[in-house]
Amino acid sequence: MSKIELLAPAKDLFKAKIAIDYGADAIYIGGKSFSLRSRASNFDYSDIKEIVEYAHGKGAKVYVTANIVFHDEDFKGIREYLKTLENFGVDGMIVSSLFVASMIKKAFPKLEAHISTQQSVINSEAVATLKSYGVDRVVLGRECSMEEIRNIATTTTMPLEVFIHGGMCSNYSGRCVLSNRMTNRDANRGGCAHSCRWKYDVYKNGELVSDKEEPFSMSSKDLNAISYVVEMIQCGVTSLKIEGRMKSEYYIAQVVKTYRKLIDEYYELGMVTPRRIRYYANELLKAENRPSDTGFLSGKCDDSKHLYDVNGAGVTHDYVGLVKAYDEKKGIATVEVKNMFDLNDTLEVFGPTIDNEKVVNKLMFDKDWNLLKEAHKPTELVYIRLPFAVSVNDMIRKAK
Amino acid sequence: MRSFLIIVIITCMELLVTLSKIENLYKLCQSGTDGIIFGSILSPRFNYNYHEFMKINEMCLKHNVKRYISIDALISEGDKPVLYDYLEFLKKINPDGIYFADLSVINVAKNVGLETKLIYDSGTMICNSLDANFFIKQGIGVVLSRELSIDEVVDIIKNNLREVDMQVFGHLRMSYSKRKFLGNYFKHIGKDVDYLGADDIRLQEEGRDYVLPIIEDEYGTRIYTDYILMMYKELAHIKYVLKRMIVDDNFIEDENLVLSVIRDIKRLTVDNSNFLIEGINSKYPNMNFSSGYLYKKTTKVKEANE
Repeated sequence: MSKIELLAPAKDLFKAKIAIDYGADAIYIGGKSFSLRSRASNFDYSDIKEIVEYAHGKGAKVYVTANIVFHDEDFKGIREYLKTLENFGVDGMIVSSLFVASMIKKAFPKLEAHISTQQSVINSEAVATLKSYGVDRVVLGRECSMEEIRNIATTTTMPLEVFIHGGMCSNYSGRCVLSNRMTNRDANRGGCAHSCRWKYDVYKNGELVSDKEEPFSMSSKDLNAISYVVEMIQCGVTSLKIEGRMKSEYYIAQVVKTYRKLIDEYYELGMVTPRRIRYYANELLKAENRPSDTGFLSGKCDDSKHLYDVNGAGVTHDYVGLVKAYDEKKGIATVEVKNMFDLNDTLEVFGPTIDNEKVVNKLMFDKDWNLLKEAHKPTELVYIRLPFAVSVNDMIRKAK
Repeated sequence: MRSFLIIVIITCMELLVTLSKIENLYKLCQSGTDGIIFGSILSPRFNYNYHEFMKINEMCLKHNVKRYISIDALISEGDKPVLYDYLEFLKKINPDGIYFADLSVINVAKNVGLETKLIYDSGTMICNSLDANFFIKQGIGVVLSRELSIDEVVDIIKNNLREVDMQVFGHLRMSYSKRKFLGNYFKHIGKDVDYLGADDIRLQEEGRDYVLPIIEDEYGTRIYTDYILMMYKELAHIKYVLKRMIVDDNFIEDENLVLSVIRDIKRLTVDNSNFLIEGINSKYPNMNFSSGYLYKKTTKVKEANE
């Protein structure tokens, strides 16, 4: 049995490398064109070439999104783009256009064609239709329950990709143009304004029926499928996908590492106990930025899955620093400040090879080696005494 | 609007109307429409029971009005057997076409021998000539996405002459969710509201002066535009190069408006479009008619500093 793929998002080159270093088997990125996350600082050609070489050097794959719903004017340059990415060794394209998928299969055979969740594929007959078109993988819609995923996976030989973590569209992906009407931005071409997360009054026959204090919203909790990963592995899902090309390196690192460890634990032991699942769920809370739930996986999507009055964070930890260097002889780490922290704070360090090492911050200096009581300036470099070795790109956090 | 030279034979374009209320059936059959769009199971839009469905079917046959069936639900894995049974049933009644939203229908229709009847209407996914042609080459019709500009519509038609369908009147669907937005919300605030299937519920975003029709049923929730698409002027130029035109009567209380629109579109020519526009506007001065997205091209991206 081949090991399930852990697929992580990346906003830029740095975050892509973080995702791979923290355990992703594959990453998905957007280029400068054709990609839905228009605000993500998407990759130019040199970035794509570099990350493909980096990923392949570490045994990871790179998929590039071209998942906008194309209008005629958007096709300009698509062939050259695909040819260039094929030459770079990109492993696959994530697309919503069936025409583009068919073009990839005909003209760029080294690229896999993955059908985006924008197509909202939620049953095995739709998968069969796509199989007849020759596509290589289907990303299932987030509306599937675990039982439905299992049934689809056992019905088809098509590799299936399933979202396990991150933001959820409130509507079927690709079937929503609320943003077009509300803000004149095309939701399916990278302009989504998340109108579904706004507050609305509800009227019935002209009479207000919503609560003034707690207005109507379509906002959904984020997805967190930590308790379903084992079932997904067992039923033959090919790839577990983390959402969040707009997220920070800290979020990517923590979420990837947590799922990596859970997956590895399953393959090593053949099981993951409920106690360990709870441990991993708590680990995810350290990076949570919106309340999360199991979405449709449990088979129902009632009011408990929605956010009406809360959009705020449920995060338990603050990301305070990124390790830039470590002097083993002196036991001093050079740290880029991300959020404020003080002397005597209890810090927790984690990284690809270090698990939640705790230390009380007893000694800290500024760049001129003056003693510091507080580190309050983001991007400032400070020196911290650590009693254990750390590596570049390890991360430091503190409990809230 | 880009120039469009009509050099095709003016014959095969059809005008279809949706049937939201069965009480309008008789009048719509006699309205001059070429066909009626209706549905039953797997259709949130037209959830008619078997007897109603057969009544509509028979009335259409009696009045020589074509029958187009809508399967507009996105279909869950558990509904696969239902889809098979339904298409087998539809094969027996031999409709003139089947509008569908879920790609599963293609595979199942092939399996039951109904693939020549299919017309893909996702609402949002057919925004370009090449994706339209991808389906047309398979013998599957397509309905253009609703958020296109008129220039984009013309370009797609030019590349797929008399092969595409288009909604030409009515509220435009903006979103479709599996979530039970209304039911969940009313449960959350503990309020007893008769919402299921109700077509009189509206949303208003704080700070905006328009209200959006929202409807929830067993398949989820759909939200529509506040305005009614009205495109007589444009239609006068493109009606003969479309394959089918769809008048959507969803949320329109006054059946006479729908009947007037059918009559107008049938009569519509480049020369008399202004006359017909003036007529409908003066007859229905309080209706929120709009050209929708035809002249409002939606931008692709957010501002860089947002």
